[in-house]
Amino acid sequence: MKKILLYLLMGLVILYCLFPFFWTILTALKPSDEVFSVPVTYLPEKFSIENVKNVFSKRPFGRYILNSLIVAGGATALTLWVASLIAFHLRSLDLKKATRIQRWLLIGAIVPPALLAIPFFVVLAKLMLVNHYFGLILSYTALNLPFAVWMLHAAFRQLPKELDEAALMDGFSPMGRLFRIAMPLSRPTLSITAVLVFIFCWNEFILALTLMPTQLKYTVPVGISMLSGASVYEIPWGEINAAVALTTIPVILIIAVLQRWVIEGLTTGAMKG
Amino acid sequence: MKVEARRTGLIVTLLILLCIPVSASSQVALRMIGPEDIGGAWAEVIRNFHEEHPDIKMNYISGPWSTDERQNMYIRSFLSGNPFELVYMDVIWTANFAQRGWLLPLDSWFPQEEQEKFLPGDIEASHYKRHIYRVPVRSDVGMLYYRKDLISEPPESWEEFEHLCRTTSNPPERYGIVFQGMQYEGLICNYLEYLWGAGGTVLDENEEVCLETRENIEALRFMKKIIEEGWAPRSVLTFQEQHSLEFFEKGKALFMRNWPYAWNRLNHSPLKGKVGIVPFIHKAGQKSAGTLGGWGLGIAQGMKHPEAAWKFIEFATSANAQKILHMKRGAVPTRKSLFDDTDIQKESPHYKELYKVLLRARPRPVHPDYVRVSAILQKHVSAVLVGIERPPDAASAMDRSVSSYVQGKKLNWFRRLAVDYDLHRTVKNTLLFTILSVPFELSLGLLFALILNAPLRGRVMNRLSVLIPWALPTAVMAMAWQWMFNNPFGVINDVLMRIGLIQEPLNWLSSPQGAMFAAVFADIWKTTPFVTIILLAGLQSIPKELTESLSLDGAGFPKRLLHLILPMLIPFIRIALIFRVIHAAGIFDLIWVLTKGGPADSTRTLSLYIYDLAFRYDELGYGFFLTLFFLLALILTSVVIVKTMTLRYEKVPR
Amino acid sequence: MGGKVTALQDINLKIPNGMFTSILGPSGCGKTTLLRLVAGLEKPDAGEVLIRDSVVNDVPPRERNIAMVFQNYALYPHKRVFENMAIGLRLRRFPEHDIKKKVDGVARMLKIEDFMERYPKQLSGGQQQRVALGRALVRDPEVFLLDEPLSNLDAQVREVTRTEIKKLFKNLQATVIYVTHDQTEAMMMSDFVVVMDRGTVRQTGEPISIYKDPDHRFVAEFLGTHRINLLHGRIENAKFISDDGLIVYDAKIKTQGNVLAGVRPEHIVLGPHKEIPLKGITVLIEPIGTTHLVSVRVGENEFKILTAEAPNLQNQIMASFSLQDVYFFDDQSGRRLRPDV
Repeated sequence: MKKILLYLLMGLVILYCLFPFFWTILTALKPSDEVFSVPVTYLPEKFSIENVKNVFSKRPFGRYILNSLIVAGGATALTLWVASLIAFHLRSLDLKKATRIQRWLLIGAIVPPALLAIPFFVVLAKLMLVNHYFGLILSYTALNLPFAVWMLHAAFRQLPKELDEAALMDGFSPMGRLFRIAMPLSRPTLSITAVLVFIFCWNEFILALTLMPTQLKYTVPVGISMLSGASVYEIPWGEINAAVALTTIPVILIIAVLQRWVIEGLTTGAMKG
Repeated sequence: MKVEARRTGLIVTLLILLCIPVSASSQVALRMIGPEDIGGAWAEVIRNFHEEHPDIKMNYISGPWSTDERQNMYIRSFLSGNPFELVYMDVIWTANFAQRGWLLPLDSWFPQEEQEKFLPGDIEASHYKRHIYRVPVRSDVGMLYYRKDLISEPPESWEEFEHLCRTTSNPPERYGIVFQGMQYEGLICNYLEYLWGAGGTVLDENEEVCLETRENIEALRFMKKIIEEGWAPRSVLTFQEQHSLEFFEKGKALFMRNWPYAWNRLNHSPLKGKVGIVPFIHKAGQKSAGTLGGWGLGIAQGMKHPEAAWKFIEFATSANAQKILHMKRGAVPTRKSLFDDTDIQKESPHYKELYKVLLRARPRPVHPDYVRVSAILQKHVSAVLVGIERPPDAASAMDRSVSSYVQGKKLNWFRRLAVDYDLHRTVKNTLLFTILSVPFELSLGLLFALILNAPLRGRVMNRLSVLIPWALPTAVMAMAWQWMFNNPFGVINDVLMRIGLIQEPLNWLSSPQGAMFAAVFADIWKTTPFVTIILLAGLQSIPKELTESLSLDGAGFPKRLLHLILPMLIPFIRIALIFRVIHAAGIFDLIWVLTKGGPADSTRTLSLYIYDLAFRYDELGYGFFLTLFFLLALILTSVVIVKTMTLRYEKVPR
Repeated sequence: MGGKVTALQDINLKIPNGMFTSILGPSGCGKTTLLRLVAGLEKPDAGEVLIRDSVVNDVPPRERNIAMVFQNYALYPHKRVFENMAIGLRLRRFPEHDIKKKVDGVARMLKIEDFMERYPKQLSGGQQQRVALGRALVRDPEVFLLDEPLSNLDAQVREVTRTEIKKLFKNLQATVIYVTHDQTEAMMMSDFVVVMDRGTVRQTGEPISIYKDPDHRFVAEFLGTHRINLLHGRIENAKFISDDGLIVYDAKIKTQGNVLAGVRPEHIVLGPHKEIPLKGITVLIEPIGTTHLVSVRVGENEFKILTAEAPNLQNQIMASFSLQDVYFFDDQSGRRLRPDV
């Protein structure tokens, strides 16, 4: 009896989490007259991919995807690289000091990213990096460093000191120790961190909006939000839903494959907090 | 060792390559942003221009409908140091852009004699401090469209209008009037017509604010009455120009307040021949007034080839180009000569009347901070229309706000904190949002975590689905939510009606409570997974023996929850709480896309305000100042949370 | 028990009332599972669990009137010692006054009355364990269940605590089921021992009788401070012949076939004083306090002898033992072969 109740609850939880996503896909697959029909139809009478086609033809949506990939990919790579350098050094310090340094990094995480957009913009404008991939990549890296350093530091610290000593005797340079030994051994943590950073960059909105304001450089979230006007009649809701679905499907796939790691990553981060 | 050097070298080279902007070609490239070029008028003008000037490439970038957003795009481009060369600006942007030094004065190319060929109101509005910065491309004035097949005598006064609405309109099949009631600049254009029509004004002869007047109250009351009596549909509060046009086009209203461009559309619709235009209504005994609109082209400062830009402006404002814009787009020309042009008269015989109206079009206050003043006015007018502020209160608030804004700009920031009406409002909204969403997220998250912790089959599927709301982009999902909360096409209304919880569809996003609720709901949906995962980790960290021991000691599930699970979860709840509070207080993405802070500023949170301060109001310093306070508040809150939520046993040393 | 491993099989066990019973066996033998079955923390796939003649299969743990002391003490870290001990009674709605009396009484008995206001993390291992005990005592249950409570303690603390626990429960005349893998504990503390191996019960009885009269090779091997010497051979015509033929003696047993002959180190003496001789070479001497464990090689086999004097290493040596100290076990099943079988 209790079991049935629990299963029911579980079903409700799944429904709650997934409903918006499914609704978006359903809307995306409806032809436009159905999209705007009153009362609302749930399953499309006729499946149509005209919305999806329109998304790509009316605006350079493919370009948006490319932009997002470049920025997210670049930021992830840069973050991992810099974070591993920092974390590796932190490892050689005594734990108290390292923790203190990490606490300072944390302060950066308290500021809402929206507000960070302003000083970032001012600084990057002076550096002529606004509207440039690198500007956004740098910003994302800065935002994600605290988290990445935290994760990598924890992973590196778990490696026994003897490994270092053996490597020293074998003649590895410090960079060599980092890249040839520490990183390969920390692959799980690296992967989790990479995934979480990538997702963050892919989803990020306000910095992308502020720092890459020309249409050709929009990332996907910004591009989608620009598809809107302000109210019902003019807005191509069918296309918007199609665009939303297109954006969210890859993320869902990544999560599906890596869900265990993602959860681990989040909880490690939380516990260390 | 060599491997290291090579790899580092590669990375450095890549970085450098990313930095170098792509080099330009030999052609001069120009850009401008405008609304979607329906009808292809601009495309034709630009094509002709390219034929005449093959060495210049003009790029028309299609931007959003909302003029406010296009203004933001221009502002950002100025700030970024790589401005769009041609500034296609609304009449009210001129003073501000000019004052900030972003525009090139056009006096040398556009002398007095040339200026006189254009409509006077437009030219006046293109000046700032005795220099001219913009050449008017199209003019605009607000006027009243009416169904002449249904109404023989168009109204001139408010009273006549009221009478006609009562007798001839028939909601919901056919409303009385439809206009632009959303919280944006267009609202002020409408509002001023009522204000002026009542004999009031924003600034008096001494350029002092005089809004706490009887005329203002009457104007506000009248506008509100139009909606309350049902002469205008309630959804007019979400309308911009294109929405009111669509509505009128479908035959659902007797009157429409709109700009001249609508005529063109109507002439190609089933309403052809059934529509007339007259100057906007006024209070009996006062004079009619139409707000001057219109667009013009200016040149951005600091570009390399201003002469090329001027060539385009010259071309685009020539009689021929304006004719094309008129024919294909219904644009009102700014050259006086064109009103005598035979083609145009044939195409639009109503232009004879229109010309007279145009000569008397009134510009909005020409002031560098007009945008900010307008924002304040918009807020209160919108609040009156939505029903959350009474006209007399609104009138005094408007007066107070505008005066205090102008004053406040002179005050030192600390004192300004006390006076800043916007600040108080946004802080209140932020607190409301946080207090509404965080407890729900925590409780729901706890519930989910408990469910996920139970040994049931399908746990993996469950965990996966719980992760998804968190993993999806907020901004993107906000669009999905907009769609779901939509009225009448939204699924949420539909589901609620089917279940029987509500009888009629609710106006979620156009009412203050509904919008806040929608925002809170969307946020809870998105962030509960995050809380769930943290609490799940906490649940799994409780040694199984403790639970068993407690159940041996006689505790059923509820008692176990109270005595063991919750206390042991406190460190995790603490963390989740801190993260959530920080995130909720700083919320931006969701609100910006979902409601933009509206309606009537009811969902405007502190982050939105600070963002506006920096990017729209050009008050970076004050923005930073507020940010500092905000940060301090957040840090303080975190410390308080940690201090109060640490159980004694954690603090005690071993 | 869910899963693919059978934890317990064919258990038919009666635990005596008012006595201290140990369930003894190596890890994985199912003793903890058995305990948890009694507690109600696990449900049997088949069969019944009875407490005082009533079937309690469907009775939830908290209604079985039992108390359990966990291996890791399971003290609630966020509650003070007093609260930890009182909670069982609180949850059962005892009046506050009574609770205080009882807890204080138990605390005094266990000598932890000074710790009442502390938190578990401020206590040492031994102190925590006493609190865990106290929590169970306060409940005054019908049965006490203890799951290897001494295994986390230092060796010396363990000894002292062992005695204290025995005395304590003796005074209370309580029914105790005590799970352990340490045979010394079981032998010294219990009135009754249940020996388990891989999910089955090998033998039950008083400690001495199990020790002196093992039913199974496993029991003989498991019990005893020093491991029993086992020799593989066969019995023919009532004579035992070791595999290498070097050791032969009268077995006075009727069975035939392959057997294991076991003799405890303490039953072998140096010198020819007992009937059955052993001749070999000393290969290792391990001193233990006042005695020595001497390893003697006889042919292919090695015997350990417990003796007071240490012989010289690498010397020929003569030792002996008597037949009545020999246990014969069937080679296949491990069952004990008694002379009249």
